[in-house]
Amino acid sequence: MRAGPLLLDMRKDSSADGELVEGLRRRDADALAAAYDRYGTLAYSILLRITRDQSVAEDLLQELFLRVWNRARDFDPEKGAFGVWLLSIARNMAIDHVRSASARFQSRVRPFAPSDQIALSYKPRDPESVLDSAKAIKSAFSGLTANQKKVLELAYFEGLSQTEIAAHLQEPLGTVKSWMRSGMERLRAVVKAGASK
Amino acid sequence: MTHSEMDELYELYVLGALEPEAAQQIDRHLGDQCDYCLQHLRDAALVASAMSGLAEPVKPPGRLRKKILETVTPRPSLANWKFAVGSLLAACIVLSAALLWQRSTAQSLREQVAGLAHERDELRSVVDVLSRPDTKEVRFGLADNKPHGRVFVSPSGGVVFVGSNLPQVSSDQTLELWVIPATGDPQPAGLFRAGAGGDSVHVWQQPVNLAQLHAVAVTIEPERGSQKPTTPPFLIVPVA
Ligand SMILES: [Zn+2]
Repeated sequence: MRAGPLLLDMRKDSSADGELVEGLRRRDADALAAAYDRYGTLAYSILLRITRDQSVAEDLLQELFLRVWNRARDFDPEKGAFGVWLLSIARNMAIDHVRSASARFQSRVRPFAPSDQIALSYKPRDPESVLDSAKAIKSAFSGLTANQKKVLELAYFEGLSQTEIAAHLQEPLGTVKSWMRSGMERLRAVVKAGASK
Repeated sequence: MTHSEMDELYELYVLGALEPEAAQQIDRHLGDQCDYCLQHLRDAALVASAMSGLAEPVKPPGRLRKKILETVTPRPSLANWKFAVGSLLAACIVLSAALLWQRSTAQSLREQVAGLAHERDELRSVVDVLSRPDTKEVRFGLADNKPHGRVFVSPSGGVVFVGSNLPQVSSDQTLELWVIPATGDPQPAGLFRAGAGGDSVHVWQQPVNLAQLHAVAVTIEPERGSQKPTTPPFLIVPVA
């Protein structure tokens, strides 16, 4: 199903992603430049935050865009959300990096987060922009409690599971789960509100 | 677990933060192509990726953009490989001719010719893999001071690994290439060493199941190679 011109106009960001992906599939370097200009800063920011090492973050950013270039042909612009895919790969790469070398070997063989695949294979219901959602989440986050913030940051930036977070914070698992649940609910709500605008 | 119980778990699933038991329940729905779960996971993937907004925004250094774009602009192509084979063939002919004239050094020349013939065969198989229409090319590593190069994979022809800035190993060690399937153990894909400049071209002429291929990796192994990696890989190139 193709969107009419009016609809395309309303969802400017994601249709621009569509063009961008078409360009990448044609091996058009300008499309890679556009992808970089659009997502480079956000991707670099999470690489830097997760690795806490500027030169590693720079290397990973280059690897990330090479990977986008190499894998563009596998990406179906009608199906996936490009920005979601790119940012989930960036996070996975950075978390992979900070894990030990041997653990890294394992986790590459069995990716620890299925987000890559999900972003690749499911058709967006409302192709909203991940950039807008990122802004919405950033402002909603400031309204969360310190505990909600802490557990969500550990899950996103450190790649820790609920059990690992409970152990790390020395808090009961049930408490950690409830902080995560309530915090995530707020984030989910602002993204959803943005999408239905 | 009911769908409404799952509603608050999808983001954690995408982030890899769920406990295995809960994650397996969602896995099962995905395996059954459950539309409800697929749709909710898609929405959750957006929320999870949008959490990138929580990182303090930092602009990457300006030179990175240029560097990244340079690596994807046209570069030496297949024609250069063919040229290389051509020149090696020519060198063989010249050396063979020289052989007729300088019988005194015949032995050493014969060795050189044999060496060149080996390289020529190697390059021929490189060209063979590179020229197949089903060949997939993946670049890795951009930093000059780290291993970088390209991997070419042809389902019918095999793997060509072209690397620079590879580590030098001692005489009782070797580099070993591994083909890593999506599931299962890494498969050994041949031994090689880097030349003095850290460069190497390694060819593994075995059919490769591209759909099952996850990555190729390189480890340092004892001289005669290993059936399973004995050291963590210093290089992993995702191919999937
Ligand atoms: Zn389901």
